[in-house]
Amino acid sequence: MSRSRTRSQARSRASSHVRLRADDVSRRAFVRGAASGLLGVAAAGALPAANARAASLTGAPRRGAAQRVIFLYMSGGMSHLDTLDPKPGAETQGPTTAIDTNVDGIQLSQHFPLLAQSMDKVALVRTLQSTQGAHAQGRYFLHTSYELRGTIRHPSMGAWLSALREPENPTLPGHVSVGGDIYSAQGGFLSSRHYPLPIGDPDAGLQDAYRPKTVSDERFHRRWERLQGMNEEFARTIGTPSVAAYGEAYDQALALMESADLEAFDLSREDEAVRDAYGRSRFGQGCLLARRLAERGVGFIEVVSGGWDTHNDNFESMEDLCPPVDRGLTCLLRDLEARGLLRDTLVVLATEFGRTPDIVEARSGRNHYPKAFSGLLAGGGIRGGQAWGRTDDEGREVLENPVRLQDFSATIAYALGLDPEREHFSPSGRPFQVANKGRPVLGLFA
Amino acid sequence: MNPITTLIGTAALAAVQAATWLAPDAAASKRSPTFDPVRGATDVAGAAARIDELLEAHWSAQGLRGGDIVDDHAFARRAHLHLAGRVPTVEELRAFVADRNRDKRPELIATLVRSPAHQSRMYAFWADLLRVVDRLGNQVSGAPYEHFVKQALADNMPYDAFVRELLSAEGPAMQRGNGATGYLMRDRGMPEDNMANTMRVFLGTRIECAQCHNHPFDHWTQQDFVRLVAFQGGVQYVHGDARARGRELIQAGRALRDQNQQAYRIFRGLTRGMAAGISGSGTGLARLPKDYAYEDARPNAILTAEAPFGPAPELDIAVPAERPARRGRRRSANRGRNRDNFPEADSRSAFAAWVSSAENDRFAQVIANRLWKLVMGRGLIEPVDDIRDDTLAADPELMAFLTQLVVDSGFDLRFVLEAICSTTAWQREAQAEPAPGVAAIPTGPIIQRMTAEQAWDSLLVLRIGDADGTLTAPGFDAEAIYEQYDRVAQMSVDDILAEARSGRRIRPQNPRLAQRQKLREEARALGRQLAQARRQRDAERTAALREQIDALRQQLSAGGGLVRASELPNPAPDGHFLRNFGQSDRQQIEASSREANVPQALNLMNGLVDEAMAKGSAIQSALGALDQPAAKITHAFEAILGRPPTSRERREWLSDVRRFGDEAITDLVWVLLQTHEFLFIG
Amino acid sequence: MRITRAQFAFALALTSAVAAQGPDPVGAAPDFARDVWPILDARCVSCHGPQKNGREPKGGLRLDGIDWIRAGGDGGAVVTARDPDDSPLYTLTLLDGDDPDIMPAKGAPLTDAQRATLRAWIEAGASFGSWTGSGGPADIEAAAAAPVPPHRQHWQELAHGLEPLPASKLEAWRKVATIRPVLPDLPLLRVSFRAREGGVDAALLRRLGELDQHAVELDVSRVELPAGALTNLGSWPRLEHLSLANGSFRKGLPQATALPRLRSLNLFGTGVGSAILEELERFPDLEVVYLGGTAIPADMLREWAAARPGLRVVGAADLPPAEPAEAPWAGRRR
Repeated sequence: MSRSRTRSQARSRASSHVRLRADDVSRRAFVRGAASGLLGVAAAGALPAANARAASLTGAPRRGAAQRVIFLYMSGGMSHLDTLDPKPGAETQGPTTAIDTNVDGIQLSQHFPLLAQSMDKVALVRTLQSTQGAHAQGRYFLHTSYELRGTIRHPSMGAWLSALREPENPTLPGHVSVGGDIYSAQGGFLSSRHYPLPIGDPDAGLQDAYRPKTVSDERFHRRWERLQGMNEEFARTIGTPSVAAYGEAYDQALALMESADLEAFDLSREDEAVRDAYGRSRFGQGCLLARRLAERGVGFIEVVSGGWDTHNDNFESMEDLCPPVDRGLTCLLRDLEARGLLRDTLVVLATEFGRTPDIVEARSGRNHYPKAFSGLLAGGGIRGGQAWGRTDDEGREVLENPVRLQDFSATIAYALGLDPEREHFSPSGRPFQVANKGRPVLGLFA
Repeated sequence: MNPITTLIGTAALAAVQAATWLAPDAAASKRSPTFDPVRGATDVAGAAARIDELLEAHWSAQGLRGGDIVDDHAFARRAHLHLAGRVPTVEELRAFVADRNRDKRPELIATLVRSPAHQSRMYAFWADLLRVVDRLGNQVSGAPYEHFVKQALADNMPYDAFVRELLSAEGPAMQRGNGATGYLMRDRGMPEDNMANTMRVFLGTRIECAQCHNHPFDHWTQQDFVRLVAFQGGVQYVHGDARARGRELIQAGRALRDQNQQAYRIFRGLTRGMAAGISGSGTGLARLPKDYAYEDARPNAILTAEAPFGPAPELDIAVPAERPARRGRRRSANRGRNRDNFPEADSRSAFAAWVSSAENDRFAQVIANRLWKLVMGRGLIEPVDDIRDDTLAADPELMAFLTQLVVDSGFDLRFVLEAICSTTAWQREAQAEPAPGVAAIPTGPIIQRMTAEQAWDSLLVLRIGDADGTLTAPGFDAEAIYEQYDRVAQMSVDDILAEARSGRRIRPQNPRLAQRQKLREEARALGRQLAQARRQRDAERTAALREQIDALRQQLSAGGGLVRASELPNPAPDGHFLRNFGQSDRQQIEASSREANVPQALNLMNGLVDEAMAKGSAIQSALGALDQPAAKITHAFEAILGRPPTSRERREWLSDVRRFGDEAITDLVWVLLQTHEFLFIG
Repeated sequence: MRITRAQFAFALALTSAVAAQGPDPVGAAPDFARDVWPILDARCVSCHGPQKNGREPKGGLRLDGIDWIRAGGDGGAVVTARDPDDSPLYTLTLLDGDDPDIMPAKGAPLTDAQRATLRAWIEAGASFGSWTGSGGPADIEAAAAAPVPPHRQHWQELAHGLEPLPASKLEAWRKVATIRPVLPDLPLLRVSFRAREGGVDAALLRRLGELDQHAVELDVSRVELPAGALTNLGSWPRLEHLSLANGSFRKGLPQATALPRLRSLNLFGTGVGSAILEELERFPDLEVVYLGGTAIPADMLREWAAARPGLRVVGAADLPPAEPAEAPWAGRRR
């Protein structure tokens, strides 16, 4: 990769009469940049956008505006046609209709009336592509950018972030998953310190975080010392990584118990009106919890919305599935913005695959469809009010700007200032990158 | 030569031959003609001795020696945790240690594998593999499926028969005796996923990649996959009877929906679960996807069922001629899976027979390997579910022997497990998990963290004493479902409509809900007594009542109560101890985990353990009944860690008791429950 | 990315020239993207741009990106800001048509108007505005180099001449605050006390000045500050973002504090009242101010914001009302 630029090189201007064309894509980009410049339109947005797709990232700058991520995961495979990429009038659309948003030329499905009014904050990505068409594999791929293998477990982005960057909050866990399971956020081969802290029910908050009142400080620490003594003895005789991981978990748990930031997990400290606004769904309250955690410097928070696997009754299901997400997501965006947190908090909505444009009439359902589907990004340096990429009129094929899931992950990494190209080594010595060589979509950034 | 050595000799011979079968090209010489499989083998000791022999040979070839034999305490704890799914009680432990019988170890194993506790422990294993859930879909209960699995364990149903049932069951899912339909219902509408799961669970073969494209590393092609799916071709997730009156019901439902919303909801509740089931004996045909991208066949072409390896199933199916495509119906082929209406051809039972055949040696090998891993901590083949033609076991001879043992025993998995646990090897000192890439078989069972179920059930022993007393008979949860099914199945469509219009929801009464209701009423009654006691300023009675109420409340709040894990919802609700400790969410095959995390530590430190163990628990009352501090300390160590304290430990805690009194004993219980030693099985 | 020492020195010289002279008067100078780039694109980049098959661009010079132009070619720098006569990019276009060194080497010479544009652009300081073009002197074999986005250019300029904070000091501060570089290779810092339980006490505040040169962002939100803590923070020449959100901050911005580059100010959830609005006039470069959750009446805030179209005023979040109780999903838990 080093290039020779020695002065001894021949520099005869006369010798070359061959006109070497510039790389096509970047050339077009320049032309477009130049043209928009001539028209008096700021070229800043368009230029790096188009360049990026052809550009090598060697030595590229890191955007790094995002200090933390809230990752909203639609588990089961969210139908793109019925949510973020409606195709009004198409046969594949079924009964779902489209509505206008506060950004000209961008429509959402009827099920996102609130988000439609905050579209200016959001960059839709309508050309996601996955290579995995089954749930376990798809979820794993979305989260880790690697294919599910029997031989190794890869970390998801939250775990990478926790491992690669000093936390903003040294006491709270850096990686939290609300309603996740082992196929969503995961620690992979990284130390258990970086595994997501699972929160099952946001209303219930973090369970068992408080020591019983009957146990005094002094008594607790007496217990703790005895425990350390016995555990050290045990670890000495049987020192295996899984035993060591328990030592770490206990240390972290103790730090957490003694932290004032524990109140982050207590949603009852929010106004009832705010809790109502986010929606009393598990997902809505999860979004509120995510905001509270982001405020306190938790680096990566995943909130899961389940039930998107609409093989049956797709259209009926949308009426149940979408409103809590519309509400939770939109409140989250508006709330973060008001608090000045949207500038450095990246909000992501993603799913493992879309659903077939063809409707299975017998079941009024849609099946798995990894070829073209939708997600969105907001905040953290993302330029809102845009729809990236385009699918055809029936939502079947990507027409322009495909974004593979590893590119999508690389975009998140890039927003965070993580280097998507850098290799990290697993304990077994195998090299991995945070987004499996994905390329960030720079055009999404402001 | 006694019959036992004959058996072992024959098995050993078979093992040598089996080792060569692993080579892909040797398919022709699968079974030696001189080999006469002995079905229904019962000689545990002989099989165990042969396993030991093979292991010793393996270790010596690797320059290793078996570890020391563990003492009775450690053995009893290990055996109870692995086979009964919980720690031994102090009484069980002491009785075993005191026993002078030379054969007490194999006898303990024999007793444990025949106990209801063992069924409970194995249920956790199977529920994880088979993804048993309480709800198979809207209105479709998973209780019959759960019943089938538990019943099979209780009856020690031969494994091959078990799998045949799962793969070929037909009929209404809610009807008594049809629980096995749950296996296909589990992946309703997704026969491809179901097939990938089948291959992975029962044949240790990862073929799901070929669902969408040719497998990148193995030789599977997308065609292979579609040919497999063809075995389950034409399966419908509605049973035959329901189909017969389906149209009538749908029409009645539509009419009702427009008239009376509430009645319609009741109507749906009555009819939806009723229709659930499996029909279709298999057409043996399936279509390639319409975006099939390879040159060797047309997209959407019809393929016949074909097995990718092993002896070919007996089936005779011809590809029907395509009807000319009509204009404007371009996409019809992919819409309804049964648009084609291919004729039934019994391909499902042919498939089930092929999978579970003794001739298909991957079938026996996979379960042998899984059982080995269950108690030894690591499979002879890892990963257990990604076996390829060139996969070599850590010791091929041992693998072959175990495989043959499964076949020879008549697929008696309890026998195989008993044999493995009766080996000397299983009595050796626990070993650390080997680093990835180390091929040698560890010289003793690998130290493992308890599964979520083992941890819960062990804590339950300490909490209530007789944990196994909470086990119910298989089908406990399903009875009400069956009754409801039988009731509604007899009703005419008009009867159903009439009941819907009556506005009364006649729901099957869940026995566990009834139990909870009873507990709640009990708590309420006690509450009234408490108020009275307060008025009378009876402090002693007030305190006693409060304690009783607390105990009831705890039982109510423990998500289904203080019962063994196998009696709790499938899976346990989010946030339950079991889930925190890695119980599978039952969405994916073997999704359980033994990883450490912060909530587990919090839970053990501040949750269940502290308060529950302090108040009214079995261990507290046992400790309270003892006078001498030294006896209390010994009891706590034995109850929790399965061993007496070392002299230093006894000294330390005695000094604490002198300084802090009984508080120190509570501290001791707390500390022991937090130790790595408690959570790990040595 | 490999840059020779000489190229790096040149790049520094160029940026320092720009920085020393301050911003250009609006409208006077040609805008690079609008006026200059079309000339380069049409006449220069085919030879002095990315080449196929790993070939070198002519003279080792590329003109299709900001860092390339700054890096110059084999013969050294091609642009010296404010000195067109020492800028080969311009001077070589003036040569006679038959001179072997004339640029462009192929086709007609540049028109007088085009030459004049180049000259005027260099004279005015050779600013690239928001243009970055493609990449920098990165790997030619990779065909297309990465772009330098505007923010990087901005921060490079901001960081110019700034030595990194001594490692020992950085370490000490890391114990009490979250300190992250804006970009890994620049000495500019984001400083946050937001998630630190220790907060900021008086002693710490006195030492905060150690960071005044390096901090681009200072986040003291959610922090209880000692009374009068902010009356004298000193001068923070590079601070662009200040967050006091949800803190104990009540009234009056730090009077004796110079924040000449403040672009974003977060006062969300503080106790400030409408008196603060007047004080905000002190920050002419302010682009966004967060005033939700304060004591300022919403209508007053709206009115005030309406009169300041250049300033983004973010008020309280517009959260939707509770969902109707009879909504089909209400009460259902997903």
